[in-house]
Amino acid sequence: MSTAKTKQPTVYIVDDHPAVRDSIRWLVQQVGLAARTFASAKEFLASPDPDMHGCLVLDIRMPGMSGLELQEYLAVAQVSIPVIIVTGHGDVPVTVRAMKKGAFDFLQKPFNDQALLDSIFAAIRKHEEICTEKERRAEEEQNLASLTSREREVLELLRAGKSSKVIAADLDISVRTVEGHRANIMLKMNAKTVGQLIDLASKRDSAPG
Amino acid sequence: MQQPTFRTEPQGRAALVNLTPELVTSLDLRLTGSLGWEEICDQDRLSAVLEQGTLQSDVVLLGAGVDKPVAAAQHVHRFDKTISVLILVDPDHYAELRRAIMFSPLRGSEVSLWSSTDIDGLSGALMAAVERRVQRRTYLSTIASTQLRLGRLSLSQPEANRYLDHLLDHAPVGILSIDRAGLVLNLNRQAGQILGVVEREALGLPLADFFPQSERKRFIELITQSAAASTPNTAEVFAVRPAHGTVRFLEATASPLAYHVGQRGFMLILQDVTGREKAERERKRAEEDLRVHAGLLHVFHKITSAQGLAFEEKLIRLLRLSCERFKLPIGMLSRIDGEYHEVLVSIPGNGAFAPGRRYRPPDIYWGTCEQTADQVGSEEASDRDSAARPADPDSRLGAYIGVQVMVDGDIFGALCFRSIEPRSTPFSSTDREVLKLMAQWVGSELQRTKSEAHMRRLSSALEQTAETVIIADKNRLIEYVNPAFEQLTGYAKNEAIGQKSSFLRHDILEPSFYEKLWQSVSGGQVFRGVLANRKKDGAIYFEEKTITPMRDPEGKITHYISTGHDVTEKKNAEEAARRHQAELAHVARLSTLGEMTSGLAHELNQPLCAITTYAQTCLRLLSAENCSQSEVRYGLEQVVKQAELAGAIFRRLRNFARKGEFVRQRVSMRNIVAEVADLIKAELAQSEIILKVEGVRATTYVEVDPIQIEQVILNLIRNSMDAMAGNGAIDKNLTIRTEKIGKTEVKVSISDTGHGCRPEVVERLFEPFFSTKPTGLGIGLGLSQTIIEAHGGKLWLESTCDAGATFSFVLPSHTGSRHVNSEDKAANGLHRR
Repeated sequence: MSTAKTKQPTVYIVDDHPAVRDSIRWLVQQVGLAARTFASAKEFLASPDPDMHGCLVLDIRMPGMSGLELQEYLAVAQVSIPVIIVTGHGDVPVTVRAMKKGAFDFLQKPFNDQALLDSIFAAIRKHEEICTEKERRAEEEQNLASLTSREREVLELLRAGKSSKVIAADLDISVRTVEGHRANIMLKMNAKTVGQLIDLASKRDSAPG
Repeated sequence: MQQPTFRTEPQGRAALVNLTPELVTSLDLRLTGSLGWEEICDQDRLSAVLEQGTLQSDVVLLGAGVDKPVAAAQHVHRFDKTISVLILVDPDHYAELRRAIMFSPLRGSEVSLWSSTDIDGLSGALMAAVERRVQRRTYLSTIASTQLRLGRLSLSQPEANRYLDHLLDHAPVGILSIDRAGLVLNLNRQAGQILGVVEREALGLPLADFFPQSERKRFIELITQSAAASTPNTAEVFAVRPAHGTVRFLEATASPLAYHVGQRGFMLILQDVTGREKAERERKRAEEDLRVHAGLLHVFHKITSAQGLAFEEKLIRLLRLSCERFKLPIGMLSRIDGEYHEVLVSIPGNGAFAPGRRYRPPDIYWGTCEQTADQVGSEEASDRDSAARPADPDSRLGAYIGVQVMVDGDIFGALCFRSIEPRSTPFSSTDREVLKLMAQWVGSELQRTKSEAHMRRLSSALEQTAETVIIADKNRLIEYVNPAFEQLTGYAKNEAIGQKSSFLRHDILEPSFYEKLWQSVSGGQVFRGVLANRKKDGAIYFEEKTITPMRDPEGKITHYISTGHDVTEKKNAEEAARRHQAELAHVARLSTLGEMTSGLAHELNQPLCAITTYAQTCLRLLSAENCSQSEVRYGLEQVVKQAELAGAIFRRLRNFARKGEFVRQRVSMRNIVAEVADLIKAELAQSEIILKVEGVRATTYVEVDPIQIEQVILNLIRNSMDAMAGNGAIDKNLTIRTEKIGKTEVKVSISDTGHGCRPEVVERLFEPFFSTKPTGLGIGLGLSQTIIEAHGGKLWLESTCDAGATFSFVLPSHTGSRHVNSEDKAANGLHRR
């Protein structure tokens, strides 16, 4: 399927306090993960990694661009990497805002190392899923694009739950033609059964586009 | 001495005694041809000439140089009564000499005065005097020879009679003869004139009739005595009052007469001596007056110097004495109160002029008083013209005499004596003198009473004042202390007197301080300051004292007077205020800390988080297989490092928050600034403020409480941060600059790039509770200024504009060794308790 799993996940650490940065980096590396540290949001954005894979550990309170601002920026830039907020404040309103804006998790300093690691791994997994999903979507789009217009029509009717006979009657073609179209669609769309075809379609409909 | 020159002229001679040569020359010119003269240089020479009997002059002119002319005249007359004496006197002494002559018994006939300014008339006077003397001598010798002749001549001889008549008619004296029955036999023209009769009409009348009844007996005695002839030519003076005119005095000399025919009778010489007699009587009266005056003064003195009598009693006696003397029934002392007189003491003590009554004196009264130089005014019947100045109908003033009483150079009131009835005789000069004397005495008594009251007030002021008073002699031994002193120190008068003034000293102040004090005071300066002393029970008290040297009229210091009051309360209050301010500063620090809390919390949390993470990771490593020691070491090292950093933050915080007393230390200004920068850098970074610390390389030391100065700088930084908050994209710069000003000051400036201070805010910046922030307490700038000023410096807004503001303060910088001033030492000393 996808090549997501072959990528090495990296923990991106953004915190203005050097010791905090360093201690997290050290921890993460001890459990076998790659880590990159940045002293500020600006620094993070300045070194682009187009194929970021892993998760982001972010301190909310930083001079210059705050964690929250970075989060917004990333959202706007449609960067899907999950964000783990690490806050030294117990600053509830800020944290709530961050969560609403889609942060993956938040932890208070000083945090339990296992809790952080759990969150990191979960975030990495999530990212993988996201990436995988993205890839699948992309493939599907491609497949859909290769359908002819007649085939698209038939797919719609199939999705509506209509039988071949009804479809044939609707489109004023033979049942066999309908069945022939159906086989093609299934081939192009990489579906083994009609059920899958219908499922795919509904997935497409319900997924946020 | 000039040789006497004689000119033998028949007209007579004048003796010129003690005249100036100019005068002699001038007289010589005038007298030439009329009068001979001899010059006698002085009084002594005159006496000598007289005693030798060689005076050949008829008149003696005593010059102004003769200092006892009256005595000289008397001396002359001792030798020859008939010589005329003329005394030259200058107008100033004329009256005096005349009085002297009046009072002096003079035997001779003629002593007269001549004004020395009238030289022109002098020669004439001399000549007249000489003539009179010649006449006197001639007539006396004539009388003598006549007597002889008469003894020999028969009265029936017409030649003798004619001779006698002729002779006698031209005599200037009255000559009469009477028979044994006292009938006038003969009288000359002069006698007739003297008796006031035509000659012929007197013949045959008893001579005694011409004398008043009162004198007749004496007259007859004269006659009979002369008959006894034991003392020839005794003269008697009789007062005769002719039908017209005033009383006249006649001097009569009688001598027995024997006629050839055996008839016996008497001859009388009559002289009109009215002038002389009047003078004599006046002299006697003046003498009498003087005696009375002296007697009066004696009584006056007795009254005024009587012991044990109150002033009022003495005054009453004096008033009574004067009332008797002046023969006026009412006498009083009154006080002037505006237009009115208020009676203070009076005789009698009731009626219209009882003590306490007020009356307005008639204008004439005061008018007279003020016009006369000696402030005595008087009026009696003779003075007043009833039509022009009628008697005051209200007070019915008939006669009065009054005098102003002066006290302290001002008019106090009046002494006056009055009666409703007028007086017949005028007041004499003695009366005025007595009155003046009384007024002087009253005035001085009143003044003395006033001064005594003043003295009493002064001494009672000293005794009663709430200020402590110590008087010490020039060796600083205490002579006097007042009750306020006793009350404050607990020492009684007798415990303090005799001690040296330093016995009160508390040893808080150094001896050198007292040495300087006494040096300057004994040099004549006034000392003002606060001293620390010890009460009797040992308690310390502070006194604000003024010590003044007191000098005698020559300027030498004789005493020291010190006044003071207790300021212990004030000192304690000041101390309490100082403590209060320290509290306030502490509260402000805590409040600052409070403001810094979130920043601090964040700052502390970081190392804590790091420590936790490092440590946990270490544990993780340790529980795994193949744990790398070096890795674990690395982790633990980081833990230690972060723990130390956190510890440093805590220490700074603790230091800042401590409630310390104001303790000065010698610290470097740079260190203070560095400490503050450390405390605040996290927050500054948080707000994206760039901190720049600029300053001198050399170390400048200040003697301060470092915590308080840090508090000030922190406060200023905080204000700058607030000014720069919300400035958006503009660069936020905070600069702390330290620089030396001269050799004695160090200046610290905090500049920001905020919005500056608005003009209406600038004036109020340092007000205690003024704030531009909604949540600000506003103690900041005011307290900061107080702290800086307490360190001897100044804090101010140096500049402000839209692009930023700069606050600056200066502090005295110190080079060299530690210096603590005595006030602080004393304050610290208080603290030690």
